[in-house]
Amino acid sequence: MDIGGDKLQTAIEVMEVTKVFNLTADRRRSLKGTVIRFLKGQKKPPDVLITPLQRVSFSVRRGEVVGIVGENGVGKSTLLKIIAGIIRPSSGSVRIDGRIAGLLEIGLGFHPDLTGRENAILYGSILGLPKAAIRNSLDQIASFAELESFMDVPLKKYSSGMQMRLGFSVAMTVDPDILLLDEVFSVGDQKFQQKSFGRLEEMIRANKAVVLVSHDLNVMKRLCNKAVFLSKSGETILGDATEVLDRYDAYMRSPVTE
Amino acid sequence: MIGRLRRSISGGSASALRDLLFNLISRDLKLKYQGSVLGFLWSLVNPLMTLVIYSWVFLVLMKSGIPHFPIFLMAGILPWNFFANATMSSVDAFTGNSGLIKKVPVPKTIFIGSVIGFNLVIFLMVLVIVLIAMPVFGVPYTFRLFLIIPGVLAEMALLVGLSLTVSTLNVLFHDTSHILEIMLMAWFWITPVTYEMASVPDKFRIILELNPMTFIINIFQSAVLGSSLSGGFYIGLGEILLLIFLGAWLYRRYRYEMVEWI
Repeated sequence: MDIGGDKLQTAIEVMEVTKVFNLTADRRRSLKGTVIRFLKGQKKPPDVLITPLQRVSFSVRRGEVVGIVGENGVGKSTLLKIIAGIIRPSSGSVRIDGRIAGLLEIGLGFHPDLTGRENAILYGSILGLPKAAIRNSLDQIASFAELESFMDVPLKKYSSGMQMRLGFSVAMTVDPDILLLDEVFSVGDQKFQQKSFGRLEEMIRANKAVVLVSHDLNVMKRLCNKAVFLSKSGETILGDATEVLDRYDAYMRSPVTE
Repeated sequence: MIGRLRRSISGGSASALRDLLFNLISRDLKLKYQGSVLGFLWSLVNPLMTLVIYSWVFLVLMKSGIPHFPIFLMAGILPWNFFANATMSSVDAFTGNSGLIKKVPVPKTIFIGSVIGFNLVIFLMVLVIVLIAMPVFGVPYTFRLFLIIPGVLAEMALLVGLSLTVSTLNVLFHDTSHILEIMLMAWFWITPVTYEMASVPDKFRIILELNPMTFIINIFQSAVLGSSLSGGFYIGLGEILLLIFLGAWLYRRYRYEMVEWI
């Protein structure tokens, strides 16, 4: 058995993470309204609390690919954002060891009036790539996206498929130790989907710690070796990917018992 | 509460952040000037029209006796426009970038930096034109021109404090921009841009002296026209520091929660 080496090193440790959202605490109210409410002596509306994540714990080691499944609203994306450090847990903590990159949406910051090249450079730097790295891989990005002759065309002339291809190709040049993916697997036509999936697999196999969220169980089974099932009841089931995913599958197929 | 050994965006070194800042500023410049034949010249049209209109009003209608009025006006109005434009667009620095802030772990202050940087570039470009035009209006070059450097630095410090404050307030109260717009209009007229400090009656002087923009505009006027620096220096610097503390405190207080609100 191969113990030791980098493989066993913990890259992400999620410890007892709980997230509470207060749905009435929409602080984006007007100053005018706040002053009027204060003068009238009105009370704040009662809190409506939801707790998508309850004491969730798991860890991801280097080289592991962990899939997160669960129904809509159980907090899968919230969990990814907490790991990425975008939002804070209400309690509990997350420990990260390594450089982290999150692909939570493809093509962030794209602007229709800028050319493909300009958008690629901007998006690359949004993802944290150094300038030199983006410039060096521009040709590669263009050829992978099959957009060589469109790089100087404004993005608004692109079809939505072309935009996604460009975004995906830029995103695939990131080289972090820890990769977070949120439903970014189906891009472009079938041919490009296969190509991009192959690239993604390559990236995942490069001994990175990966956490991914998808509703596509086939994708999950193919990529993951561990899985976390966040159930509506607040239970966290984690374990071997096939086992947990089958259980989730069975749960989703079972008739509604309410 | 959160233990992170190394937490950063991928390759999130200081240099990657600097590249991002540079790219955001150059994006805004490209978007502003692309597709227009005149390009950068458009940025000259606004101050030029201001110059023509204000000169007519103050020189012809009101018979203002300020020497070298056109250059005096430019020395005040350009830093003022820089201040007002940067402040107004910084209001949306967080709310206008919610898509990115919710999905990428970048420091949110980078959007404030890009607003100030973008407006600084435009300000400096127009300022260079005015400096070139000085001899045409019979104003000689002197070593006092180097005062422009501390002037720009003081103005940027003020902008950092004010933009942190208003952009965070705008997350809490969405009518911040309306209130700010009215405030800036009043603020313009209590800043000696179109008139000289010397012509202000004593009883109103205190209002101008409490205004940090007074001393900043004064530095620019003094740099260009060689007029003496009026006081208000320590008050102004004190206020700038206070504003930076206020802005930093507000931002730090709400930087995580704001992601859920914007």
